[in-house]
Amino acid sequence: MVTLSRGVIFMAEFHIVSNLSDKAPLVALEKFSYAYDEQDWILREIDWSIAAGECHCLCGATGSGKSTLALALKGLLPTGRQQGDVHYRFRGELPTLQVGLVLQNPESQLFARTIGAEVAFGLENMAVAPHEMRARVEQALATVGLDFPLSAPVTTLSMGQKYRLLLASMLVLEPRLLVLDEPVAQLDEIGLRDLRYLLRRLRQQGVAILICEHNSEPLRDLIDSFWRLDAEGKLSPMDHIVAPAVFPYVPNSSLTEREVLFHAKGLSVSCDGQQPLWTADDFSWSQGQQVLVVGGNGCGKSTLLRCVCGFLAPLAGEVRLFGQQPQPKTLRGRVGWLLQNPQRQLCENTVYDELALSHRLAGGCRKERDERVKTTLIMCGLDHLEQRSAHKLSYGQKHLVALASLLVNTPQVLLLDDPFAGLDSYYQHRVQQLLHQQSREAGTLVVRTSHHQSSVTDQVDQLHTISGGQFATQSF
Amino acid sequence: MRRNRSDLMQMMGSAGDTHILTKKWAVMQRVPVAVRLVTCLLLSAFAFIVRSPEAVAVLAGINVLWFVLSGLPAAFVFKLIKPFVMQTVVLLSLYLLQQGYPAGLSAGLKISCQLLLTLVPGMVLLWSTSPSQLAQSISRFLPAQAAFVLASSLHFFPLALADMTALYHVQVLKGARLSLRDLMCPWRWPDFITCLVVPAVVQALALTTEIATAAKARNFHNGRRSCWQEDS
Amino acid sequence: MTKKTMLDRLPLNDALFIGFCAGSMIVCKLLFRWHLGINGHAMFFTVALLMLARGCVNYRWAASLTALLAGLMAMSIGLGKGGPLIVLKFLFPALVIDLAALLVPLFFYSVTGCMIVAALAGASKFINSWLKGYLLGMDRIVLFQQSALDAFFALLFSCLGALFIPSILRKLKARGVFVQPQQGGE
Repeated sequence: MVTLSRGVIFMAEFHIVSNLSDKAPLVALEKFSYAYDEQDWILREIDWSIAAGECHCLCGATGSGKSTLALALKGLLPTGRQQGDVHYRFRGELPTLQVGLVLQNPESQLFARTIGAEVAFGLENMAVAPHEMRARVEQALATVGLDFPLSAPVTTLSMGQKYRLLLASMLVLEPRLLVLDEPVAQLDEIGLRDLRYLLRRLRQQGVAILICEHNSEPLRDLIDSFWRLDAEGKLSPMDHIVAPAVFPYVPNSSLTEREVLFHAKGLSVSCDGQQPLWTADDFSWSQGQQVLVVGGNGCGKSTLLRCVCGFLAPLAGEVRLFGQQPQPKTLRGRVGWLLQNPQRQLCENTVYDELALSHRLAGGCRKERDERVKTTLIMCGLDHLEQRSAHKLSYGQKHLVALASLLVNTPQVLLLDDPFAGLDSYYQHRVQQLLHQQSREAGTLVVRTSHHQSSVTDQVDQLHTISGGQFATQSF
Repeated sequence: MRRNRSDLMQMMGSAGDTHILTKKWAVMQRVPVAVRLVTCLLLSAFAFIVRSPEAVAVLAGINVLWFVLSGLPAAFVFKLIKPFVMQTVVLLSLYLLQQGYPAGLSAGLKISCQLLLTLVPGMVLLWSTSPSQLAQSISRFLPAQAAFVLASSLHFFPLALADMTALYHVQVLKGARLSLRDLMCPWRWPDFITCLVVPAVVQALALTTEIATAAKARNFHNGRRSCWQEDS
Repeated sequence: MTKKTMLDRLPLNDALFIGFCAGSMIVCKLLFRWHLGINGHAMFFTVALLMLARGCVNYRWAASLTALLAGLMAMSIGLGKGGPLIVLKFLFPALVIDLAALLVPLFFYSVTGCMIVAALAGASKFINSWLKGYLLGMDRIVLFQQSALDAFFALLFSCLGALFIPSILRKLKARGVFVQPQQGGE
């Protein structure tokens, strides 16, 4: 038994699924190609295999086909064009039943109210007899170190615990190959540490692991082989991970003279109006500052942003935005909010129309609109995409379009919910560059949230960390 | 084929069980839900058959007994009758115009009572039965996929609503006029469609695809399934 | 070989979208309980969401399935008048919409088409009310007047609810979100 912090106990019990000395591939792709209906090939002539106990990492930008490959291994691809073969060395009529797949968004994978029922969902689908379920559920939960009663509600778990619950839900089905789609984005440092430990143990038990991840740095010590999916859908081995681009940070020396745009006094926030998520000492944000708020999932980062804009009243204390209590209707165009998955907020059919809509909604003058839109498109490097459909662009391009639709009004405050999640290094660099330009040249207050703080890429003027119910402030 | 009751029961659960009452005379609580459903349908059917005022009065008495034996508090009577007030006023007015006073009044009252008696048994049944019991009964007759869809739609609805709320906040900050008051002006409806409705539908479609993929990743299919026993 | 049931032909993601539309109908009914005492106001959301479900999902009985699910959800939470009979309230307009989609699939993209179908769906309340009153033994003239009044408001709100469906579906189609077949659906 190994005891980790917070009394989590991992028990080293799991079925040995194969002879570890057997290096024949468990799963192999042979000249495998796939295209969604009427679209270009997203995977081209993939040759790849994995043996028992190995851990591979599939890297590539969002939209490069990593999730598609994961779905292919599980046999869940929608109808499209397919060539080549997938070979499984599993017994049974349906070999894909022995592939476990944990997808990106944990919230959309939790089907039950209680922990026991959640883990048992897969067993129900396999028509396992009810009297056999309990023991298997308990063993799976013990494997991932979730020491909770089976009737405990899922809603009481942290995001890291929910991810482990999802793993238990897969492990209860005794997969031979476990595929994890973008696990790093879901987990904070502690969650990642627990995941590393668990995956190490599973490897020792002979489970093959494939991690689809564009930011594999936190898991690199686990991984035997790195693979890269390029923009054309071709797979090639990688010798090393490409380090994220470093954006040169220039401290803003004139910040002390700048106008205070936001001030919080004795602030405490809550989701349900009763239990506080965190409390803070007084803090303020000024024009031209770059602020980073770091905290685990569910700690209250988005709740803070809602309080800033006036969508949610603080549980205690007060906030002032532009010198008064924030009222969302009065903030038209002055405050912009970029969601974590910004393609959700795209409305119009073309890139030009998207920016023009934002300009019109904020009350911009019609005569200036064309010039303003075109200037913003050039600034964001999107001028060549002016008449393209925003919804058919790459993930990184959509990200830039959504950001541009906010920048067209030159907002005084920009709120960004984990803006670098899912972006490859090229688009991360572009977004960082734009944000830096906005804060330094246009004097925009840029507030970002994240559940990681990278020491190199996240150099900011003010850092807030949310942990243990406290909101701490650190100025640089 | 064993139906999956656990997911619907999970969804409803003890948090929604506000209708379990403990009055001693609430004997209907001890009767199986299916029997209560059949009784309710029979009572509703009788309301269509009765014609004489005496028969209507007897049926009304039976419904009062049904109400009492279901264990609902007396205050629920007002809640029961309130939705029918406007309808009764309209009916009485039409009968009075057509048949004059007093024939129109008695005929109108009789028909209004009958209308009430077609619907009251069902309302009493639903208010006196816990959602989990209802869900259990319903799921017995549904295919596995339908039971799963019913449970999941309710289970994931808050997630869809949270996504839509986040979208609403973003668009309001952009300047879109989306409040209920703004929507009283028809010229704001195109922006409402463009900024909120269409993106929300797209989001919902994407979410359903995610949920379906996640379910299939756990080997869900529209076939034979077993049932997790929560309480054992 | 196992015979495919009707539900087997409905992909799970489409079934879940139908479930969301059904859930939205119930939530709107709860949120927008306009205490106007006017019958038929709920038809605004009912018809809009039924048309949206049928317009987005390539399945012959999508609207009817939405109505059934909405009815079951309403029953589960004790919403509305009539207990189990609330299923019929949703089902009649849904059947009209499904039948219209079978006969003229492209009506979804025409404002006139949507208004006509919505009017018919709203008017199905006339049949519902008339049938109920007839079985109760109502006076014929009063029966007609009562049913016409019920149907009038239902019709009005249905048409309002259907007004922007073509615009919504055109925008969704432009995004390439779904592909609607030209005839009927599965």
